[in-house]
Amino acid sequence: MEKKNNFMPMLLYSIKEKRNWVLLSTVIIFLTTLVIPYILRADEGTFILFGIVELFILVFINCLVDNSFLHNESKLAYYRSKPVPLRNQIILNIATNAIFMVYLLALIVLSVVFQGLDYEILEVFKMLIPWLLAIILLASLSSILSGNTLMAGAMTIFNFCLPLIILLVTMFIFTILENTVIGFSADVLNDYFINNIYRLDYLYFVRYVDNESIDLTYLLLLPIIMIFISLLINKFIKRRKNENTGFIVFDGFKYFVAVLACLIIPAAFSISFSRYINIGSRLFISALLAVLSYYIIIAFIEKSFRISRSSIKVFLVSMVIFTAVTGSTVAIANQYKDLVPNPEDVQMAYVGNQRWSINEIDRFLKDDYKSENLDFTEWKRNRNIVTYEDKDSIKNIAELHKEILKDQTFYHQSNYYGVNSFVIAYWMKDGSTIIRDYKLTAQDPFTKEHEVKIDLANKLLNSNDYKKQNFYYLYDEEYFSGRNLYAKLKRVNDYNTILEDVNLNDLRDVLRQDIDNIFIENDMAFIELFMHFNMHYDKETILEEQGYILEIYEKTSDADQNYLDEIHLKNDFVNTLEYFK
Amino acid sequence: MLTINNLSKKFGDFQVLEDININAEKGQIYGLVGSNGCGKTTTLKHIMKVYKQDEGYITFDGEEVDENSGIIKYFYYVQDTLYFPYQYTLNKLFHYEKLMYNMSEEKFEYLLKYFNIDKNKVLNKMSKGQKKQAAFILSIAAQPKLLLLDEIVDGLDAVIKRKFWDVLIKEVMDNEMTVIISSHDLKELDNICDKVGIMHEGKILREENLEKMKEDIKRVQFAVEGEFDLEELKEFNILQTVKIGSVFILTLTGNTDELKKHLESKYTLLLFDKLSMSLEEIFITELGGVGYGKEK
Repeated sequence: MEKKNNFMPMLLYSIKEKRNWVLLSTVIIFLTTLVIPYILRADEGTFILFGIVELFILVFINCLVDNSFLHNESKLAYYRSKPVPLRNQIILNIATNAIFMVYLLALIVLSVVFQGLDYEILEVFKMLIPWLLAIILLASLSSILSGNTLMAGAMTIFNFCLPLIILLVTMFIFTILENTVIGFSADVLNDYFINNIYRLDYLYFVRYVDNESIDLTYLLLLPIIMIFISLLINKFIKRRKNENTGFIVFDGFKYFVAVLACLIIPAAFSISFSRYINIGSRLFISALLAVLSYYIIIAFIEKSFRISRSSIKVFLVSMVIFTAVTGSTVAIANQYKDLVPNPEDVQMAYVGNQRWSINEIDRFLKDDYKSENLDFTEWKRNRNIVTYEDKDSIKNIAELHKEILKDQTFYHQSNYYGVNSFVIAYWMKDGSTIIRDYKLTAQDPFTKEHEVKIDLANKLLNSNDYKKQNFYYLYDEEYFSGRNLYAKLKRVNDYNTILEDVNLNDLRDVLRQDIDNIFIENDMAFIELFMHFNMHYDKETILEEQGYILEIYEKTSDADQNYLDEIHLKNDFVNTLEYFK
Repeated sequence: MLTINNLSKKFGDFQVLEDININAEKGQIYGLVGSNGCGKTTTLKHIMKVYKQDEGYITFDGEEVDENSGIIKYFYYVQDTLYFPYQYTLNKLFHYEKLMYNMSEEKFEYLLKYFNIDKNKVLNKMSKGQKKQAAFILSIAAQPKLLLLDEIVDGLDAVIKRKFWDVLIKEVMDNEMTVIISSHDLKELDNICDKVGIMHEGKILREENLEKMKEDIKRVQFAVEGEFDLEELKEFNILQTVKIGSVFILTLTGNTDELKKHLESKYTLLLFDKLSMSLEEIFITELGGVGYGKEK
């Protein structure tokens, strides 16, 4: 009796054995992506996406079924007693499933071709193929690590989502940081972490779905991930002892899963309630949730309500590590909490309450909006984003920042609706960015500190930077010249009736005069600065006063109008109101 | 030759095998017998590298048995709890295994006829006995150098058992195949085993050629005139004593002639017979020596 070089014949045999699966899958895919949309005359694209989801499920189930021999004692003994090393058996399963995957993808392509759909729908393949390959390898890895097929399925999903779970734990640390160090925002840190360090869009290949073409990163990252998982498979094949000792057969992995999984619930809780529950209560509840989750997970994995001493030790050590990491992060952040950059080193600054604006600017600076083919000014205008580049303005922002560090309150009117996130961002000349997010509390009465903030805010609102960007249709000469700009006067409670429709050219001077006057010595300037102009005036206030609004638009042709802005004409707009009288 | 050296294994905190030493010669039928849960199947699975030992090593013809060494291609294992791939017929399984072993078509066809098994019947629809026969046919058709049979005749009728042993003995004689059989049916093993290893609680209590074992462990029955005191025999290695009326039945190791001389020198012997011992009796005696079956 002699063993032959049997890999290829066994692969062919294995593929042949898949014929029932292949037949069933073909029927499912064609029925969903071809027959049903044809009968219903429905949106074929949606059904193709259904087909892709089915493909994913079919490949996933197939992988688990093929590797299930590892989880049944007699089945395992049968296959392991054959002269085929476990590694070869796993490779055989991986190869068979990869071929099966290619077949199913080909079916989807055929469906797209038969229906004459736009091939753009297949862009999703750039993400789908890496995902499927990862699932095939992770299903094998998880099957090796698990002692039960259902657990192997759960572990495949766990391993696939591992980068997301790590992100969740990181976010948990950031929410703790947000509540302990002034100026640090979990969202800002998280955005920075995702956009600059922890690039999940690359790792999950999500960025390639929307038109991004396959690049060198893609071509390098895909094999690196596959090789990494393959190395893990190889390592654990060597170490697997095959005796059925529980749902997870490796103690190390068991504790790894339990520790990470027990952090998911407290992390989700802490992130969800970070703005509603104080940090002390939140940490206490999170700790209780972590203990309970860990106990339940360990009891489930070990099939015993009696928790072992080693499990307790692992939990305690993990929590000490988690506390140490969180503590170090807080300690490091504490060193930077009073940092206000030297205005000389700042290229551009932003103040407001829109963190979204900062992310958008970052994306623009990274050429993410290259396809829009717009210059920075025009791009910002389309998004109502105001930034400051003037030296004096930047100096005023730095001063304002120092004031915020001293006192985190601001003066408010009784009917103010309470947005209190104050964001400052600096884009430094050296290419770095400093972002701070302060939670400000509205306060009445008026204090000396409020006066300083209002004074600085007034300076910023009267700056060219601000007016040119916020009221570009009045202050930006370059924009104004050569355009047909008009203004419609309406009552606030009757938007459909146009009382007046005037050329902005005629109105420009009086409107500018009013706006200039409003910003001088305006005690609401600080609120004006970090919220959109006029937003703090609710409808009742406007109705109480004049109840007029001015709709600014550009006439692009006789039939087309391009809406630009809306100004609420309150009593301060003396000259404009006089003009219309 | 198969040798297992100081094999030890723990499942979690439980010591399943402890210092197992086994030597099975080429062309030998080795009976692995032992109490329930003593580790017979676990030992066989270690030979096949289904399990990985914590300590010790296994060699076959001088080469260490390792999953990747290639020596394992000469082994064939028929497990107690049989597994057959879903919806497979014996014929289909034969062709599948042909990808891994040099299966003999000739032997396969011969054995199908000999055991009267339908090769096109789905294996999982066969009776327990038929499944055992199917697995046995495949194992012989694979022509291994080392064949491991775990409880192979369990649940088979006497005729089929006899057929099994006939085929097995022929294969051993023709091809010098080494066979390790684990079984509870000690009477069956008694007839065919060359060597026996007796296991208990993860240890090998005794390993010997069956003939030698039978020579070593003897049973005598005797009766003497007058009162007899067992203390008189303390210099002999007596394993078991039973008294029925005035007749003593002793199980002992050592020379029975000396025992007879000793008795004759002190008593008038009314009866002295040497009794032959079966493997089953040896097994019970050995395990009795370690307290098995004597729990109160």
